[in-house]
Amino acid sequence: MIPFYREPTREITGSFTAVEAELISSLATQVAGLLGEVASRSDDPELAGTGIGGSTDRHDDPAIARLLPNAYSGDDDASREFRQLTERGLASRKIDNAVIVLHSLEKIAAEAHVTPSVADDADAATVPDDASALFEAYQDDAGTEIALDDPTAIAWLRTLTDIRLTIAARLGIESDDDTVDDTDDAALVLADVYNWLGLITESLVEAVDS
Amino acid sequence: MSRVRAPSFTPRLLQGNSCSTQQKIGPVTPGRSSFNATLTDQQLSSAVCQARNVAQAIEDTELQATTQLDSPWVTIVWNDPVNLMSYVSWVFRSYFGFPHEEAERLMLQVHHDGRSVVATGSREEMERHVEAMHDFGLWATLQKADA
Repeated sequence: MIPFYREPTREITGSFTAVEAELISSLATQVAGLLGEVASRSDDPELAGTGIGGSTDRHDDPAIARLLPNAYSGDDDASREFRQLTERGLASRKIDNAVIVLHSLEKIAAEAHVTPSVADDADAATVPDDASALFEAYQDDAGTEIALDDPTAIAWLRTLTDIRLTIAARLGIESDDDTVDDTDDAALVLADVYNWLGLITESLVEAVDS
Repeated sequence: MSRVRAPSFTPRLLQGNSCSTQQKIGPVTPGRSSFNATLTDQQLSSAVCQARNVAQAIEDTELQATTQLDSPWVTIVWNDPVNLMSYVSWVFRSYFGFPHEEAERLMLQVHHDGRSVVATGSREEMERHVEAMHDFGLWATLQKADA
Protein backbone atom coordinates (compact mmCIF):
# COMPACT_ATOMS: atom_id res chain seq x y z
CA MET A 1 0.00 0.00 0.00
CA ILE A 2 1.13 3.51 -0.77
CA PRO A 3 -0.99 6.02 1.15
CA PHE A 4 -3.05 8.58 -0.75
CA TYR A 5 -1.26 11.64 -2.02
CA ARG A 6 -2.23 14.73 -4.03
CA GLU A 7 -0.14 14.74 -7.22
CA PRO A 8 1.06 18.00 -8.78
CA THR A 9 -1.51 17.23 -11.50
CA ARG A 10 -4.19 17.64 -8.72
CA GLU A 11 -5.13 13.97 -8.98
CA ILE A 12 -5.21 11.96 -5.77
CA THR A 13 -3.36 8.66 -6.07
CA GLY A 14 -2.75 5.68 -3.84
CA SER A 15 -1.67 2.10 -4.40
CA PHE A 16 -3.07 -1.17 -3.12
CA THR A 17 -2.11 -4.78 -3.64
CA ALA A 18 -4.73 -7.19 -4.84
CA VAL A 19 -5.15 -8.60 -1.33
CA GLU A 20 -5.55 -5.14 0.20
CA ALA A 21 -8.02 -4.13 -2.49
CA GLU A 22 -9.95 -7.31 -1.88
CA LEU A 23 -10.04 -6.63 1.86
CA ILE A 24 -11.36 -3.07 1.42
CA SER A 25 -13.87 -4.28 -1.20
CA SER A 26 -15.09 -7.01 1.10
CA LEU A 27 -15.56 -4.59 4.02
CA ALA A 28 -17.31 -1.99 1.84
CA THR A 29 -19.61 -4.74 0.55
CA GLN A 30 -20.38 -5.83 4.10
CA VAL A 31 -21.27 -2.31 5.22
CA ALA A 32 -23.44 -1.83 2.13
CA GLY A 33 -25.08 -5.17 2.96
CA LEU A 34 -25.87 -4.06 6.52
CA LEU A 35 -27.46 -0.86 5.21
CA GLY A 36 -29.20 -2.56 2.33
CA GLU A 37 -31.75 -4.05 4.69
CA VAL A 38 -32.55 -0.59 6.03
CA ALA A 39 -32.62 1.10 2.65
CA SER A 40 -35.26 -1.28 1.37
CA ARG A 41 -37.26 -1.76 4.56
CA SER A 42 -40.13 0.17 6.04
CA ASP A 43 -42.04 -0.25 9.28
CA ASP A 44 -44.97 1.64 7.82
CA PRO A 45 -46.69 -0.20 4.98
CA GLU A 46 -48.44 2.99 3.81
CA LEU A 47 -45.10 4.70 3.27
CA ALA A 48 -43.27 1.66 1.94
CA GLY A 49 -43.71 2.61 -1.68
CA THR A 50 -42.87 6.28 -1.29
CA GLY A 51 -39.14 6.12 -0.71
CA ILE A 52 -39.49 7.69 2.70
CA GLY A 53 -40.78 5.63 5.58
CA GLY A 54 -37.65 4.28 7.24
CA SER A 55 -37.91 2.32 10.43
CA THR A 56 -39.17 4.10 13.49
CA ASP A 57 -36.80 3.07 16.23
CA ARG A 58 -33.08 3.00 16.72
CA HIS A 59 -31.57 -0.24 15.45
CA ASP A 60 -30.59 -3.04 17.80
CA ASP A 61 -27.42 -3.82 15.87
CA PRO A 62 -24.89 -1.41 17.42
CA ALA A 63 -23.12 -0.95 14.07
CA ILE A 64 -26.32 0.10 12.25
CA ALA A 65 -27.33 2.18 15.27
CA ARG A 66 -24.05 4.09 14.99
CA LEU A 67 -24.27 4.53 11.19
CA LEU A 68 -27.86 5.76 11.45
CA PRO A 69 -28.03 7.47 14.84
CA ASN A 70 -30.94 9.28 16.46
CA ALA A 71 -31.18 12.88 15.32
CA TYR A 72 -32.70 14.32 18.50
CA SER A 73 -31.12 13.95 21.89
CA GLY A 74 -33.75 13.37 24.53
CA ASP A 75 -36.76 13.45 22.21
CA ASP A 76 -37.67 9.95 21.06
CA ASP A 77 -40.82 11.03 19.24
CA ALA A 78 -38.99 13.61 17.14
CA SER A 79 -36.17 11.12 16.47
CA ARG A 80 -38.69 8.55 15.33
CA GLU A 81 -40.41 10.98 12.98
CA PHE A 82 -37.11 12.20 11.56
CA ARG A 83 -35.84 8.64 11.11
CA GLN A 84 -38.98 7.73 9.19
CA LEU A 85 -38.43 10.63 6.82
CA THR A 86 -34.68 10.43 6.31
CA GLU A 87 -33.25 7.04 7.19
CA ARG A 88 -33.72 5.29 3.90
CA GLY A 89 -32.15 8.17 2.00
CA LEU A 90 -29.18 8.23 4.38
CA ALA A 91 -28.69 4.46 4.08
CA SER A 92 -28.97 4.65 0.27
CA ARG A 93 -26.38 7.42 0.03
CA LYS A 94 -23.99 5.40 2.19
CA ILE A 95 -24.49 2.41 -0.11
CA ASP A 96 -23.83 4.63 -3.17
CA ASN A 97 -20.51 5.71 -1.64
CA ALA A 98 -19.53 2.09 -0.97
CA VAL A 99 -20.32 1.24 -4.60
CA ILE A 100 -18.05 4.10 -5.76
CA VAL A 101 -15.23 2.61 -3.67
CA LEU A 102 -15.86 -0.84 -5.15
CA HIS A 103 -15.70 0.62 -8.66
CA SER A 104 -12.39 2.36 -8.06
CA LEU A 105 -10.88 -0.90 -6.76
CA GLU A 106 -12.14 -2.96 -9.70
CA LYS A 107 -9.09 -2.01 -11.74
CA ILE A 108 -6.79 -3.65 -9.18
CA ALA A 109 -8.87 -6.81 -9.05
CA ALA A 110 -8.88 -6.98 -12.86
CA GLU A 111 -5.09 -6.65 -13.02
CA ALA A 112 -4.64 -9.20 -10.27
CA HIS A 113 -6.49 -11.76 -12.36
CA VAL A 114 -4.26 -11.16 -15.38
CA THR A 115 -0.90 -11.08 -13.59
CA PRO A 116 -1.06 -12.20 -9.98
CA SER A 117 1.54 -9.97 -8.33
CA VAL A 118 2.60 -12.63 -5.85
CA ALA A 119 1.97 -15.72 -7.92
CA ASP A 120 4.40 -17.98 -6.10
CA ASP A 121 3.10 -17.09 -2.66
CA ALA A 122 0.77 -19.88 -1.64
CA ASP A 123 -1.25 -17.54 0.58
CA ALA A 124 -1.83 -14.98 -2.13
CA ALA A 125 -5.40 -15.99 -2.80
CA THR A 126 -6.58 -15.93 0.79
CA VAL A 127 -6.44 -13.40 3.57
CA PRO A 128 -3.96 -14.69 6.15
CA ASP A 129 -5.30 -15.23 9.66
CA ASP A 130 -2.63 -13.00 11.06
CA ALA A 131 -3.23 -9.47 9.88
CA SER A 132 0.32 -8.33 10.58
CA ALA A 133 1.51 -11.12 8.28
CA LEU A 134 -0.92 -9.80 5.72
CA PHE A 135 0.76 -6.43 5.73
CA GLU A 136 4.34 -7.67 6.12
CA ALA A 137 3.98 -10.17 3.29
CA TYR A 138 3.20 -7.41 0.87
CA GLN A 139 5.20 -4.55 2.19
CA ASP A 140 7.64 -4.81 -0.70
CA ASP A 141 4.77 -4.81 -3.13
CA ALA A 142 3.30 -1.34 -3.39
CA GLY A 143 0.49 -2.70 -5.52
CA THR A 144 -1.44 -1.03 -8.26
CA GLU A 145 -2.00 2.68 -8.39
CA ILE A 146 -5.51 4.10 -8.51
CA ALA A 147 -6.33 7.74 -9.13
CA LEU A 148 -9.33 9.46 -7.57
CA ASP A 149 -10.96 12.75 -8.46
CA ASP A 150 -12.20 14.83 -5.51
CA PRO A 151 -15.85 13.67 -5.45
CA THR A 152 -14.64 10.05 -5.56
CA ALA A 153 -12.13 10.74 -2.81
CA ILE A 154 -14.91 12.18 -0.64
CA ALA A 155 -17.03 9.07 -1.23
CA TRP A 156 -13.98 7.08 -0.13
CA LEU A 157 -13.64 9.16 3.05
CA ARG A 158 -17.29 8.58 3.92
CA THR A 159 -17.09 4.84 3.25
CA LEU A 160 -13.78 4.37 5.09
CA THR A 161 -15.43 6.13 8.02
CA ASP A 162 -18.52 3.90 7.84
CA ILE A 163 -16.32 0.79 7.73
CA ARG A 164 -14.29 1.95 10.74
CA LEU A 165 -17.47 2.83 12.65
CA THR A 166 -18.78 -0.66 11.93
CA ILE A 167 -15.56 -2.39 13.02
CA ALA A 168 -15.42 -0.24 16.17
CA ALA A 169 -18.98 -1.26 17.02
CA ARG A 170 -18.03 -4.92 16.51
CA LEU A 171 -14.98 -4.47 18.75
CA GLY A 172 -17.02 -2.65 21.39
CA ILE A 173 -14.96 0.55 21.08
CA GLU A 174 -17.36 3.15 22.43
CA SER A 175 -15.15 5.66 24.19
CA ASP A 176 -11.63 7.05 23.77
CA ASP A 177 -10.43 4.79 26.60
CA ASP A 178 -11.75 1.50 25.22
CA THR A 179 -9.06 -0.96 24.18
CA VAL A 180 -9.21 -4.26 22.33
CA ASP A 181 -9.10 -7.49 24.34
CA ASP A 182 -5.56 -8.71 23.63
CA THR A 183 -6.41 -12.32 24.42
CA ASP A 184 -8.92 -12.39 21.57
CA ASP A 185 -6.99 -13.15 18.37
CA ALA A 186 -9.91 -12.42 16.05
CA ALA A 187 -10.38 -9.03 17.72
CA LEU A 188 -6.68 -8.25 17.36
CA VAL A 189 -6.82 -9.01 13.63
CA LEU A 190 -9.83 -6.76 13.27
CA ALA A 191 -8.09 -4.05 15.30
CA ASP A 192 -5.10 -4.20 12.94
CA VAL A 193 -7.40 -3.74 9.98
CA TYR A 194 -9.14 -0.88 11.81
CA ASN A 195 -5.86 0.92 12.44
CA TRP A 196 -4.68 0.30 8.88
CA LEU A 197 -7.89 1.84 7.53
CA GLY A 198 -7.28 4.77 9.89
CA LEU A 199 -3.89 5.29 8.24
CA ILE A 200 -5.47 5.29 4.78
CA THR A 201 -8.17 7.70 5.96
CA GLU A 202 -5.61 10.07 7.46
CA SER A 203 -3.62 10.14 4.20
CA LEU A 204 -6.79 10.75 2.21
CA VAL A 205 -7.94 13.66 4.43
CA GLU A 206 -4.52 15.23 3.95
CA ALA A 207 -4.64 14.65 0.18
CA VAL A 208 -8.16 16.06 -0.20
CA ASP A 209 -7.17 19.02 1.93
CA SER A 210 -4.01 19.93 0.01
CA MET B 1 -36.19 15.38 3.23
CA SER B 2 -39.10 17.68 2.92
CA ARG B 3 -41.48 18.67 5.59
CA VAL B 4 -43.76 21.67 5.27
CA ARG B 5 -44.48 23.61 8.41
CA ALA B 6 -47.27 26.15 7.90
CA PRO B 7 -46.78 29.46 9.68
CA SER B 8 -48.71 29.45 12.95
CA PHE B 9 -50.39 32.85 12.36
CA THR B 10 -51.23 35.14 9.49
CA PRO B 11 -49.11 38.29 9.53
CA ARG B 12 -51.27 41.22 10.73
CA LEU B 13 -50.40 43.32 7.71
CA LEU B 14 -52.22 40.85 5.51
CA GLN B 15 -55.43 40.92 7.52
CA GLY B 16 -56.92 44.09 5.95
CA ASN B 17 -56.81 45.95 9.25
CA SER B 18 -54.71 48.91 8.16
CA CYS B 19 -55.41 52.48 9.11
CA SER B 20 -56.33 53.78 5.68
CA THR B 21 -59.66 51.94 5.92
CA GLN B 22 -60.22 53.00 9.52
CA GLN B 23 -59.75 56.68 8.70
CA LYS B 24 -62.78 56.69 6.44
CA ILE B 25 -65.01 55.61 9.31
CA GLY B 26 -63.82 58.52 11.44
CA PRO B 27 -66.37 61.22 12.43
CA VAL B 28 -66.98 63.64 9.58
CA THR B 29 -69.46 66.45 10.24
CA PRO B 30 -71.31 67.44 7.05
CA GLY B 31 -71.44 71.13 6.16
CA ARG B 32 -68.42 72.18 8.12
CA SER B 33 -66.21 74.01 5.75
CA SER B 34 -63.81 75.87 8.02
CA PHE B 35 -60.21 74.86 7.65
CA ASN B 36 -59.74 74.38 11.40
CA ALA B 37 -62.76 72.10 11.79
CA THR B 38 -61.72 69.89 8.92
CA LEU B 39 -58.23 69.73 10.32
CA THR B 40 -59.61 68.70 13.69
CA ASP B 41 -61.53 65.85 12.13
CA GLN B 42 -58.40 64.71 10.36
CA GLN B 43 -56.36 65.03 13.52
CA LEU B 44 -58.95 63.04 15.43
CA SER B 45 -59.02 60.42 12.79
CA SER B 46 -55.24 60.33 12.74
CA ALA B 47 -55.07 60.05 16.53
CA VAL B 48 -57.48 57.10 16.50
CA CYS B 49 -55.39 55.56 13.79
CA GLN B 50 -52.17 56.07 15.73
CA ALA B 51 -53.68 54.56 18.84
CA ARG B 52 -54.68 51.52 16.83
CA ASN B 53 -51.19 51.33 15.41
CA VAL B 54 -49.67 51.40 18.87
CA ALA B 55 -52.04 48.68 20.07
CA GLN B 56 -51.21 46.71 16.99
CA ALA B 57 -47.50 47.13 17.51
CA ILE B 58 -47.76 45.86 21.09
CA GLU B 59 -49.74 42.86 19.95
CA ASP B 60 -47.29 42.16 17.13
CA THR B 61 -44.34 42.37 19.49
CA GLU B 62 -45.98 39.83 21.77
CA LEU B 63 -46.61 37.52 18.83
CA GLN B 64 -43.02 37.90 17.67
CA ALA B 65 -41.74 37.12 21.12
CA THR B 66 -43.74 33.87 21.15
CA THR B 67 -42.52 32.79 17.72
CA GLN B 68 -38.92 33.70 18.53
CA LEU B 69 -39.03 31.37 21.53
CA ASP B 70 -39.62 28.60 19.00
CA SER B 71 -36.78 29.48 16.70
CA PRO B 72 -33.34 28.84 18.20
CA TRP B 73 -32.19 25.26 17.77
CA VAL B 74 -28.65 23.96 17.88
CA THR B 75 -26.66 21.27 16.12
CA ILE B 76 -24.37 19.39 18.49
CA VAL B 77 -21.50 17.17 17.37
CA TRP B 78 -20.56 14.53 19.95
CA ASN B 79 -17.18 12.96 20.58
CA ASP B 80 -16.61 9.44 19.34
CA PRO B 81 -13.49 7.29 19.52
CA VAL B 82 -13.47 6.47 15.81
CA ASN B 83 -13.40 9.65 13.77
CA LEU B 84 -9.97 11.13 13.21
CA MET B 85 -9.37 14.66 14.46
CA SER B 86 -8.11 15.70 11.02
CA TYR B 87 -11.28 14.32 9.43
CA VAL B 88 -13.64 16.09 11.86
CA SER B 89 -11.80 19.37 11.32
CA TRP B 90 -11.99 18.90 7.54
CA VAL B 91 -15.75 18.17 7.74
CA PHE B 92 -16.29 21.38 9.73
CA ARG B 93 -14.38 23.38 7.12
CA SER B 94 -15.76 21.75 4.00
CA TYR B 95 -19.40 21.51 5.10
CA PHE B 96 -19.92 24.57 7.33
CA GLY B 97 -17.25 26.68 5.65
CA PHE B 98 -15.52 27.51 8.94
CA PRO B 99 -12.06 29.03 8.69
CA HIS B 100 -9.23 26.71 9.71
CA GLU B 101 -8.83 28.10 13.24
CA GLU B 102 -12.56 27.93 14.04
CA ALA B 103 -12.87 24.37 12.70
CA GLU B 104 -9.86 23.35 14.77
CA ARG B 105 -11.28 25.02 17.89
CA LEU B 106 -14.66 23.28 17.53
CA MET B 107 -13.00 19.92 16.79
CA LEU B 108 -10.86 20.23 19.94
CA GLN B 109 -13.94 21.21 21.92
CA VAL B 110 -15.66 18.01 20.74
CA HIS B 111 -12.54 16.05 21.63
CA HIS B 112 -12.00 17.51 25.10
CA ASP B 113 -15.51 18.41 26.26
CA GLY B 114 -17.29 15.53 24.56
CA ARG B 115 -19.51 17.83 22.51
CA SER B 116 -19.67 21.13 20.71
CA VAL B 117 -22.43 23.35 19.35
CA VAL B 118 -21.48 23.83 15.71
CA ALA B 119 -24.57 25.64 14.41
CA THR B 120 -27.59 27.62 15.64
CA GLY B 121 -30.75 28.40 13.70
CA SER B 122 -34.16 27.12 12.71
CA ARG B 123 -35.24 23.58 13.38
CA GLU B 124 -35.35 22.73 9.66
CA GLU B 125 -31.84 24.08 9.13
CA MET B 126 -30.48 22.08 12.08
CA GLU B 127 -32.17 18.93 10.79
CA ARG B 128 -30.36 19.41 7.48
CA HIS B 129 -27.04 19.84 9.29
CA VAL B 130 -27.57 16.76 11.45
CA GLU B 131 -28.42 14.65 8.43
CA ALA B 132 -25.31 15.96 6.64
CA MET B 133 -23.16 15.10 9.66
CA HIS B 134 -24.60 11.57 9.64
CA ASP B 135 -23.65 11.38 5.96
CA PHE B 136 -20.05 12.06 7.04
CA GLY B 137 -20.29 9.49 9.82
CA LEU B 138 -20.13 12.11 12.57
CA TRP B 139 -22.39 11.66 15.57
CA ALA B 140 -24.65 14.73 15.68
CA THR B 141 -27.99 15.67 17.21
CA LEU B 142 -30.20 18.73 17.32
CA GLN B 143 -32.12 20.19 20.22
CA LYS B 144 -33.62 23.45 21.41
CA ALA B 145 -30.94 25.94 22.31
CA ASP B 146 -32.19 26.30 25.87
CA ALA B 147 -32.74 22.58 26.49
